[in-house]
Amino acid sequence: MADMLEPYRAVMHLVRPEEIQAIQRDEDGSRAMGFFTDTTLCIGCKACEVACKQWNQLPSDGFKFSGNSYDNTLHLSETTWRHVAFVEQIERGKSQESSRWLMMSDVCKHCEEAPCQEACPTGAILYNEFSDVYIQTDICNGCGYCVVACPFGVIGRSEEDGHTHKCTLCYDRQKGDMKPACAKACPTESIQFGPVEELRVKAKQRVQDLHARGEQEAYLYGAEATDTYSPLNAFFLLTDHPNAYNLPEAPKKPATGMNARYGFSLLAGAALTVLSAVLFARGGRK
Amino acid sequence: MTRDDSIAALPLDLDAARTERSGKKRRQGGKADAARAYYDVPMLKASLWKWEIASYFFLGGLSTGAYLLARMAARFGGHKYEDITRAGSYIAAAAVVPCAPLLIHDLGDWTRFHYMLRIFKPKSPMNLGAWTLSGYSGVVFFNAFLQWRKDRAGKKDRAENMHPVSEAEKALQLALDGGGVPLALLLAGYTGVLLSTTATPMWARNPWIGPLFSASAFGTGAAAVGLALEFKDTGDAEPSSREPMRHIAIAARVVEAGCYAGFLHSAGELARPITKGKYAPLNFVGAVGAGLVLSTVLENIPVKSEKTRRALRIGCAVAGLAGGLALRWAMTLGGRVSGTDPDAARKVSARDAQ
Repeated sequence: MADMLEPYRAVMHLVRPEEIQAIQRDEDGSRAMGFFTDTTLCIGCKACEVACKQWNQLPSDGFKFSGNSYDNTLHLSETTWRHVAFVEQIERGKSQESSRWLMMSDVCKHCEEAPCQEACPTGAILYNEFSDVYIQTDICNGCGYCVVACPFGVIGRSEEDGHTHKCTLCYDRQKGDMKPACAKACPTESIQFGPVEELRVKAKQRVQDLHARGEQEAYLYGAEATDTYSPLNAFFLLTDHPNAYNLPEAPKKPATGMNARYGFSLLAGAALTVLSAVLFARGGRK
Repeated sequence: MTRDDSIAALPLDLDAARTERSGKKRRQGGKADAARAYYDVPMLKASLWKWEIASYFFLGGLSTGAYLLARMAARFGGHKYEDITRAGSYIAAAAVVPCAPLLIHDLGDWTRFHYMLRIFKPKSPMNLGAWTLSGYSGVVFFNAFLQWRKDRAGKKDRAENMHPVSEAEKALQLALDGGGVPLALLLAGYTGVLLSTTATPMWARNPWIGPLFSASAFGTGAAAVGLALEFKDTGDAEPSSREPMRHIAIAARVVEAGCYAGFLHSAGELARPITKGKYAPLNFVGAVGAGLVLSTVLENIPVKSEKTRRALRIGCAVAGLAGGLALRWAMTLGGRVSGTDPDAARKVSARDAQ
């Protein structure tokens, strides 16, 4: 059959069927690849930030001084896919021992059930064969829904091209059997990359070791499903409340209860419609 | 659900551990939470939606209100309400014209607006909305076309005392209504569901925004139709055929007020961007003051002069429309403020943790 859309493809930016690379989602998650970011090992060198910027050819965010410890990057954005947070806790006690400096390399969480993916109206956001959440920039039309759907504030829309961008978990490097740039550059193995199942086992062991050594506050953030959220394929080992790292205490899927909310809004409209029908019918008979 | 011990340790054991280490009990509640903040850096990304989206919410809503009124008047009211059907059909079509351009202008890459329709994905409210708007636009344009045909033929046929509607046209109208009414109901309220299906603290999972927008859609639709009829040549007296319109407008205001109260109650201090912040005047003077209070007051001032009563009716309709517009702007732009407030984000999350 002749391709009826052929004359319009160039104008409408439509791809040909044979150009579509079938990306099969790893349905059972058995091949899921992800990050385990162990914040107790982070020394705040920002090598991950630099490696990410370089490999992914991300533009500069300017040369600004925030005054917030050593953190002049401040947050993840369309041009920053790794961000090192510096949490100074000097006031924690009177003795010097209780003062501490927490560092954490933040990244897209690659949620197992990602709100950005659910929100995306064009299908630009998908789960790739490594179970990672991937934005197809050539499909994104910049509606901005994923930006507000993300409960971690990861995604931004670029002023330059009008599309949204975030960590791809170095999809291109993974395809070439290479570690993501940040994990490769990390000098302390604070950022570990691998199959998520293996990372979880490793991470649990690490928490137990830390507990045994007296670091009672260590716990995993996002390694397993909580009452409100799916597991994260990029999860963290933290030693303070999530808010201290600017993470939500209990992220929740925005779509929770969405069907009921549709119901309420349809009900309100339908009730007023029925009422108007009754009023017109009564008035019409007079 | 099985959870690892190391995860379940949050946050109670954290406090215990900290107490143990520093030998001092930490203050509980708000102050302790503030101490756990990350400077004043926003936790979430603010919405990118601005005046285009707010205006679309208003116009799309108004259109559905006018359309639903027009069709109910035609189906159930008969000839007595022909002018309501006529005005409603044309207003619905006219109001929907700017909707798609507004949405396209808001996009980061407007040349790809049609990518919204490359898939059908009802679990994304924006995708469902794009399809709904497309279908609804087609219906109202066609509906307006049928109305125009009827109007054109009407003059001649009325003179010859003939019924201008053929069986085929009746069937077509039935099919149009069968598709159009559900689409209109969806379009009226999905916009609220869209806002509430985000992580923005002021909107996040608030069940009242959808019905609030639905009720306001009906209210503004009724106001627009009412306003148009005032400028029809009927003298200063209000014909008895306008009676249902008044009651519908009142009912819409009652539902809107109820949903609005529900929204504020449910959002609590998360609604601060529109109750205390920059958009408080827009909200209280515009959405509540003009849309709900002023329109109710104007409608109920007892005056004898027909001329003054007509002026009051026009004022009531204009206040209702202004209120509907203010409501959408306050909700849309207030959400942008809410998204940059890390304190609000922490509060939502702490609430969800319980």
